Amino acid sequence: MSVVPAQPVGTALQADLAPPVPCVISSRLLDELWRTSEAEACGLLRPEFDQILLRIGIARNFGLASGLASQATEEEQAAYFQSLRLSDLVLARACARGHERAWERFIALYRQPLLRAGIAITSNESLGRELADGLYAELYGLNIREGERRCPLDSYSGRGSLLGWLRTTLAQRFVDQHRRTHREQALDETTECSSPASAPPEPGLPLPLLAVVVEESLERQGPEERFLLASYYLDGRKLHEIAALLGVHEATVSRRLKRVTGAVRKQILRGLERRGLSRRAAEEALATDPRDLSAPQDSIGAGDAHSNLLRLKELLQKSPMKAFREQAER
Amino acid sequence: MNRVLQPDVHPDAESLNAFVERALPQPERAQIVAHLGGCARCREVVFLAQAAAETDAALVAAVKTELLPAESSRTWWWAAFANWRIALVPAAALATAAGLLIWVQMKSAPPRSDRGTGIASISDAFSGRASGPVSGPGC
Repeated sequence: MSVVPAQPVGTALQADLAPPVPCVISSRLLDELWRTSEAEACGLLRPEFDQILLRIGIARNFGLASGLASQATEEEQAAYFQSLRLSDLVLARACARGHERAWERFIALYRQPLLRAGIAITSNESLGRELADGLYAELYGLNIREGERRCPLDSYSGRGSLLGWLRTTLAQRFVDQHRRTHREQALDETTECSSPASAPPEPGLPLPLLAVVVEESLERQGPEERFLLASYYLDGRKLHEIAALLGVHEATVSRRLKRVTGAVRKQILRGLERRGLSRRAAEEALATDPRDLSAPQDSIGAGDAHSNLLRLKELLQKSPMKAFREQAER
Repeated sequence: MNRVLQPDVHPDAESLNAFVERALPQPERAQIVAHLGGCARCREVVFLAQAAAETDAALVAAVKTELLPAESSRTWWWAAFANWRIALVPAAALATAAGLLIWVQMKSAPPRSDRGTGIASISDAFSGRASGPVSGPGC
């Protein structure tokens, strides 16, 4: 079924470029988007522009539920495109297609910010420059796969700013590179610290039981609570960093952390009691192992709590990433 | 998903950036938060991206602040005026109202060219004549 827009004159796509879903964007909407997106300044031709918008709209279902792309009305399509950073999107796609004017614009707008981002991410000028140059070379299309020029800019579809996308891509590369380089060392450290042989359980503490109860309790927390716990206790992030990321006040993060640590503590105690421990034994178990849960301000950086933190980290890292696996499979 | 940049199961750079910039719809945001709760790698990415954005914003602000004093010293009088610019709006309204009032009063007052006729009419009224030219006592 095809869309019947207010003005049923659609984009004329070549057969090999046409998307599998029959769908039309009205030419009135395309005209308006063409005018506002500065696509001409990037050297894009109108058919290319129409094709880009149609493909992105269909890929994202015009912001509607899956499979509803062909039923999107003109208003829904317009609302979806208005939610995108259209000028950034057009620039990225024009660069990916190798338009010279677009690259001139990209260099003028993003070369320096990209370099600054590299330096900020690596906290080192030469490393930052190297990281930024590496990405820049890849963006410019030096990566050729199956005889076709591949440009990562093709994966940007206008959600969030292009500069933000560049920063996040740099951060991903830096983290991946760092993790690859330090994997052996990090694994050794983790094994040493978290191995039961190197950290023998104190007498009378049912550590496996405690681990099960802690895991249960963490699973009962909501996603945002788990994120707060992981960011604060495992990564050692500051309250203001978490607050800035979530867009809330520092005090809100602090209150929520206090509330969630209190809830986790109670649930662990209850879980231990349910499994036959006396109240006193349960409190002792809690006090000796995940003691950081009851004292958020003092736990981070405490040397003797390191192995406990690692155990907690293992538990948190076991969380499945079902949603993204499903997405990747699709 | 961005298979070119991230072939595994992590959210792509665009989703993570949209999360940092708070440009995600609620269901997708919740999905990202759920992932971040269990993925140290992506948490590190978003915190680094956020920190880089803040550093850049601070740098840009600092550059602007550095440029501002030179500019303001050249145009101190403009800065002083700019503080009082808001007063221009009521002042303009007052001036318009005053102008309108004067115009209305001038409009309602008898025109200068008709004064003779007016005086004549008054004289006529006093003398009991309905109309006719005014003649002086010596005529």
